[in-house]
Amino acid sequence: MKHSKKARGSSLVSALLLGLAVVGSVRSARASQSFPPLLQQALEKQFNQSFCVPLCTACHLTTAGGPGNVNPFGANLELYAGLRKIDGTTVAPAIQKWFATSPPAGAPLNATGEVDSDGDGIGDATELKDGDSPSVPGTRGIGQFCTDLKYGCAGGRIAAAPPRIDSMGVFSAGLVVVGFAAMRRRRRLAKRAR
Amino acid sequence: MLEGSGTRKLGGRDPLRAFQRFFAWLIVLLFVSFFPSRAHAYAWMIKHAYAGCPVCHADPSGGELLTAYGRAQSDLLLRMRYGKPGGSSDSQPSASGSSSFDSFDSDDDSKKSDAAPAAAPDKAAPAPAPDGDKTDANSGEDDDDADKSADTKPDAARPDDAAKPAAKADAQSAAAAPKEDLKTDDSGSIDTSGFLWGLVNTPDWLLLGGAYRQLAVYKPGPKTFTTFPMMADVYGQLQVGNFRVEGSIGIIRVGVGSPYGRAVQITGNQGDQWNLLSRTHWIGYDLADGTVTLRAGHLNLPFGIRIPEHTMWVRQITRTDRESAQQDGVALAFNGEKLRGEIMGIAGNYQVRPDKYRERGYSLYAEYLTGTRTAIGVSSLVTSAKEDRVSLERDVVRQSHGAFVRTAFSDSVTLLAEADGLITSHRETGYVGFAQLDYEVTQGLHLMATGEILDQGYDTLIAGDRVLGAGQPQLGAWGTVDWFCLPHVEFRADIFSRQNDDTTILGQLHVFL
Repeated sequence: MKHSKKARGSSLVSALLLGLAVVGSVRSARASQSFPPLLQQALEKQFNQSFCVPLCTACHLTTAGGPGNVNPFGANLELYAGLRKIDGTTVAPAIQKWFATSPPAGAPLNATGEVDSDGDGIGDATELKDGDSPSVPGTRGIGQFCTDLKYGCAGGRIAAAPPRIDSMGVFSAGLVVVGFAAMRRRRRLAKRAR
Repeated sequence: MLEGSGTRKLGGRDPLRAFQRFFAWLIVLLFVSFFPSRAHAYAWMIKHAYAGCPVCHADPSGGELLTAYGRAQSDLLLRMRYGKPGGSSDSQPSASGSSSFDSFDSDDDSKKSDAAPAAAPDKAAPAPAPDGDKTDANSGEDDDDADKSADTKPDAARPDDAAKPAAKADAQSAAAAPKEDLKTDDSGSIDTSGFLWGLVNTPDWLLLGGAYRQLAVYKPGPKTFTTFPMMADVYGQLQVGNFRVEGSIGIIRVGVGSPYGRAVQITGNQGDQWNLLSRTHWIGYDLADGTVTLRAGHLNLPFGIRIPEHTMWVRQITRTDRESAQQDGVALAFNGEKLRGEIMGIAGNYQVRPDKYRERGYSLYAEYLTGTRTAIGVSSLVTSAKEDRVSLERDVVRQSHGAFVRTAFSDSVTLLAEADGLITSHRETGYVGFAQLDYEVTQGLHLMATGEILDQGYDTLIAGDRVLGAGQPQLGAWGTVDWFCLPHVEFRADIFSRQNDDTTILGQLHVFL
């Protein structure tokens, strides 16, 4: 395939524009990882006690999270309490509705009339307060809502405060520019030497 | 209403039968792949194929750090070329190299003329992707380049036949040869394939590399567009005689509970702060002229096809991606003429704690070249943990066993496919698979279509309804444009849709050093 000089220029411009489009239009730092902390806040407000930031397994079958991969507790929040995927603003209202004095119509209840997602007879509220997963029946769910799982092999932080993500985008663009500038400079020097 | 215990429903598909059907189709696929129409068109691909991964990668099974030879080949055969007939595949020396932006080409042309004179006849050959790791996006790296280049590398580019393709030591020393030639050719052109676009010339005993990936995600919803650095790693290898020491280090910031990045953290921040990470670090010793490599440390798991898409189900569910699925252990790799493989004893991931979350067991793959541009392989993995760090279920044994195939149907069309059965505690038997067709429109520009299927198996512990992906087959489809537009620069756009999930668009800038 042969490309003209114009095409080459266009390609370069296209590449740079695309790069800027990708790294320049930065608006937010991360994908939607906001549900766990929102759930923590909602539970603390609902039960007036401290909660951990739960893993995705609070509402999903695995820590991979993602729509369609919800466990019974997450599914019930969607079905009966108005929780919507991706929309973090629905977390707190859903918790309020699920644990309201009058449970949503059709919600699974235990013998004492509490919402009970896993059907083990212990209400979701009791299980959550005890760190027991409301999606895993019986004692196997204990410790699965707030886990002791830790990552890393050393303590300490590498940044006192998270740097703005925008700076990383600028960094990547800068890296490209510096790379090309250096490359072209070397080439010019080589030509001169010739 | 969704209830937990006692609500297991046996209606719908029988997972075992579904897997049998899936496996039957795989057999058909393998049969077809055994007889590619152009299997014998490129004799030099035999050499390439049994050369395996070590020629271009420090890792004997491919991925991450590139050898000098791998770098040269990535620049020669992977990226788009401008202003030359035949595109980058043209290995003929060019008289041009005049204009500014062409400088890359002129460099490479001279490179070709020096290092791969005999490559000309076959230069246009496509990347049959014997290695399968065309590019490792998320775990990122130059593998993309390396792998493809490796796959397509002209045998002429090899220093000589004495450099047995399978022999790692030979391969690496062979890699040094082209490197020397490529740094500066007769015309004074500068090689851009080296570290930092050739700004830093590393000695033969030292390999350096790095990768930065910025990802942009568009997904319908209240927060439709996000962008974040997916990868910012540097890596290197130091070699003294037959001993090698390799390591990578990078930074990452992910949300609490994220399935990504966490398991490779070095620092222990558990929130959304920045963390240091190391995806791989190991010491190794080459035996039998490099045909066999023994390694110990934090390693990529030898399993299946090392595709770059770490979120593809086939890598994510088997936990064998190179984003953060590495484990500590000891591995023995073999790279023969037609057979290659690696087996690893898994001692657990010591970047995860406490110990109950560490998986122990084995992982392996073996691949055999059945034709000039076709390879088939099998993989197996068995691990156990007192508590599974993904599902948080206790006393979990995970098994994945399957087969894969890589074949080039023509100079520009490559097929990768893999199917694995999943046997997991507290779950019914499941399966996962994918097939990816790669069409290289012109050198450096790839169009890819990928289909994937997943049924992890019905969770008998949580019970509840059978859902897509867990008790019912879930399907996904990807469309990809991958453009290696400039030296060390790749733009990639993906659109993928999975059942029960919103269509998502990804844009990615990848700069590798």
